[in-house]
Amino acid sequence: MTTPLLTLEHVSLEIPVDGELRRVVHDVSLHIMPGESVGLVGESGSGKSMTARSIMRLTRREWVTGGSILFGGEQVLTMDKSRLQRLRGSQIAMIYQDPRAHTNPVRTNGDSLLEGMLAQGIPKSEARARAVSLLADVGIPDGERRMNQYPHELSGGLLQRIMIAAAISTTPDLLLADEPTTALDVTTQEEVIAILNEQRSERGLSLLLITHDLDLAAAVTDRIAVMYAGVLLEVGSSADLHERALHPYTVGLLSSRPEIGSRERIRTIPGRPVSAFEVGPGCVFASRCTHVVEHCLVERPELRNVNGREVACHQIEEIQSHKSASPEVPS
Amino acid sequence: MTAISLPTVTPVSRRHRIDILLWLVVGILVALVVIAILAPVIAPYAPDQTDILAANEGPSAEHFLGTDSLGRDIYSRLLYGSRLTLLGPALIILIATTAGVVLAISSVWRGGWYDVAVSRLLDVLFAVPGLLVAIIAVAVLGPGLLAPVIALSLAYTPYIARILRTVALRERNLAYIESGQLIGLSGWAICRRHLLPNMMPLVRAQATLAFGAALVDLAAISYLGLGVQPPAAEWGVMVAEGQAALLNGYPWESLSAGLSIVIVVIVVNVLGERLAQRAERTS
Amino acid sequence: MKYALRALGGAMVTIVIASLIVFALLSLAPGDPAAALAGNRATPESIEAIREQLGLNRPLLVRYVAWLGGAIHGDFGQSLQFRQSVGSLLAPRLGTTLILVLFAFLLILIFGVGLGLLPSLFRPSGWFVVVVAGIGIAVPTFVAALVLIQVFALNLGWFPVLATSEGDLRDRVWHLTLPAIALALSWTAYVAQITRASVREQERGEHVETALSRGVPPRTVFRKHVLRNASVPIVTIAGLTMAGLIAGSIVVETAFGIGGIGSLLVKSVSAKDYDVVLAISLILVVAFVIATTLSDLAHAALDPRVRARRSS
Repeated sequence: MTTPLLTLEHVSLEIPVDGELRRVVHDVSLHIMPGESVGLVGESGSGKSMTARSIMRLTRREWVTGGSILFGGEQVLTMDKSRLQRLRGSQIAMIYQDPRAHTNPVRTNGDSLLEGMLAQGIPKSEARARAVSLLADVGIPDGERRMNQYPHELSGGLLQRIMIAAAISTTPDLLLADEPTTALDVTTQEEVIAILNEQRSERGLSLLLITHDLDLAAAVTDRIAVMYAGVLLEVGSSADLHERALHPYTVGLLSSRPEIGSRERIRTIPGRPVSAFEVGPGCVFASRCTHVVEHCLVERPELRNVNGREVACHQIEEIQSHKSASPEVPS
Repeated sequence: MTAISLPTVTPVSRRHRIDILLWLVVGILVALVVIAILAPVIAPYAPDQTDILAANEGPSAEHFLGTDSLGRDIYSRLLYGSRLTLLGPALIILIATTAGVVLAISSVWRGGWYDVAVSRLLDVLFAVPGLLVAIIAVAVLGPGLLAPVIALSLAYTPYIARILRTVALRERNLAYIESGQLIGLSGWAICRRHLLPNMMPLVRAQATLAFGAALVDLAAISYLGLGVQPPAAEWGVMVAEGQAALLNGYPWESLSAGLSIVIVVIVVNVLGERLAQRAERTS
Repeated sequence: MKYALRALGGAMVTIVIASLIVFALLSLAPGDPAAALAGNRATPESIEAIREQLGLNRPLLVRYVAWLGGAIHGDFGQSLQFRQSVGSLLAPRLGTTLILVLFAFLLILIFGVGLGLLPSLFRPSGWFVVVVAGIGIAVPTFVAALVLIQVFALNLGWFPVLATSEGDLRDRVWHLTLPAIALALSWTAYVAQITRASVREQERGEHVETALSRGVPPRTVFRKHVLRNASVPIVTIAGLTMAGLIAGSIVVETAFGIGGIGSLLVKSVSAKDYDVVLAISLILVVAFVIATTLSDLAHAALDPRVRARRSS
């Protein structure tokens, strides 16, 4: 039994808005094993990005109001500045959603690519050589030329590949990818995901993939954690979860995708996605759930094991028994 | 299962914070305008009422802020002088803003060579700061209020036009303009009814900020003796006239006139900045 | 490189156009230099003869080109007030104005940028800088001049009241200190505001978080991302500041009685000594255009997107 690389235990996050603190992430517990890839799936506003950023303490310290974050057994929240600096880049690296917004426009691509390595103390010439070879790995053959160019001269897809190259340049053990393909067009999306996956498996890195696309997560990751309103609703192996979702929210997500060729009305989950601070005491999904009962409004369900899946729902057994009693006609 | 009603999720309420500072500043400005208008009623003395025996006295019971070198009451002169001091910048801003809006909207709408020509013209105007333009205007037209007002209006137009042009450019490309065109509205109507109102918040903010700058520039020109001429009680003139007295140990005239300018400009700047923040929020 | 050439070309064109406009305007000014030269008792014929001699009856453009030709060689004509060549009149005064303006510019760089950076290094000072800058910007130069004279020259006696000095450079600079501070004051406040706003905006930038996530030490991030990016608008402002200083020196020189070209300009306008006005105007316009062009070039050097945009 190996120890997890990353462990989040009962992590809660609050951010100040207009002078008051609002909870965006509530009591999230998650772990990632070495070499494992985990998908954190949720709609916008579900708190998944903030969760990822808090892992490296890129959010303000005072915003993490509860829980602990352990990396390699060490408590991230109490690390001193120099230890934290070594954690970032060398052990954990992040790939952001919009590469153009996250790159300094007045510095060359090379500067961005090298800064992590230089911070590690690697001599400039060696860093440059490594950068060129990394660019080749991510599908940019004329690395030298690209490094001398500026970000505004490159397309979004190219910039994202450079960001991936920069992330792995510092040889981290864990990659955090925050919606890495959302800002790109569809064809580029496939390429970038392929590159990301390839580099990850070649180097044996762990990956936390944050996305709103359940299908994407299922294709790329080993396990999936579904998040809604700052709370984890279902966690399980990707293949399993994708084929047979248990939580009503996950079921809703899967069935609301339009299918090519189908002329039926798209099934949507009624209501709108909420953030953690808008929810009352009961289950966060209660206001939109078709299986809701009184108990759901009163007590928030914890994640519990149901046939090898972690689900946060009071009604799971009920729903399962109903299903076996009157099987729904698959659409 | 369907017997219970689903709880509604209340949307996060929008807090409407009353901006105290903004209303305070507006209040002060309104008061200033009222004072300027009512000067003859409020002022204890006439502005040109001399009293040589009481020259260069400090604040006292008879003279709230003291007297100048000719024995005139400083307080009364400040009150009367506020009219000229505030009128000049108002005129300048009116002209410059109107010209700036027209230039910005027309060059964004027409585009092409017109836009380029206007930009080049404004660039030349940019090359020369307002003060120099005003001085040359005075050389040609003679001292007084007219020459500096014309000159500064010319000098301020490019600043306003340039800022508005950027916003107009952004607005022009928005969908609602296109839909207006599709309906068949004339260019003029679209500009007047849609483009312009959306730019108004920024226009107001810029005009306010420019007012403060114009006030300072105009007072400077009067200080140099090239603008409003003595014995008019404009505040810049008062600072100049009081300088000799200041050097001799009687600073009342210069300092009270100077302080008045500073206070008005601070108030106007705060208003301008608040308006600019609001304009940004709505865009 | 191409960009620089285009900027220089544009600067030349602007100078020529602006000086032409000034020339044309001043030719409309009241006062006949020929009559002034001829004196009170002159007959219309002799005045006309002098006009011919001075070439005043030629068309505008011809006169302009003639004047420009002379100007390039340093010949700006004669001063009516002082009965000497304008060139010799301006030469010593130019130096004084230059020292004043450069002194003020230095003060602005040090204190303006310094104040703007203060809240980044010492967080609680934010409100202080906002208030101080807000007041500083509202104080007109001539008011600042008088307040400084009152407090530092008259009350405290630290500085001399009159700014004229015949001494060496050190003495001249000493006498110009109070005027330089008066001149620099409102611009220092402005630069402080711009610096602070710019640095604040950069600190919130997403590329800053990216750099931190790569393990770059916060100090380096501040230097290479925050400061580096924030310097772009500040450098752009530098040109505007210089131009404003040159204009403001007119007021300060008058207030302190300094013998620079600014105070001469004011006197010459009153005295209708138009050759002098023209010459000083040209010098000022050239100075403005140089200042703004230089800062334009610096902007392009610092921000590669500008180079790309302008050449398209």
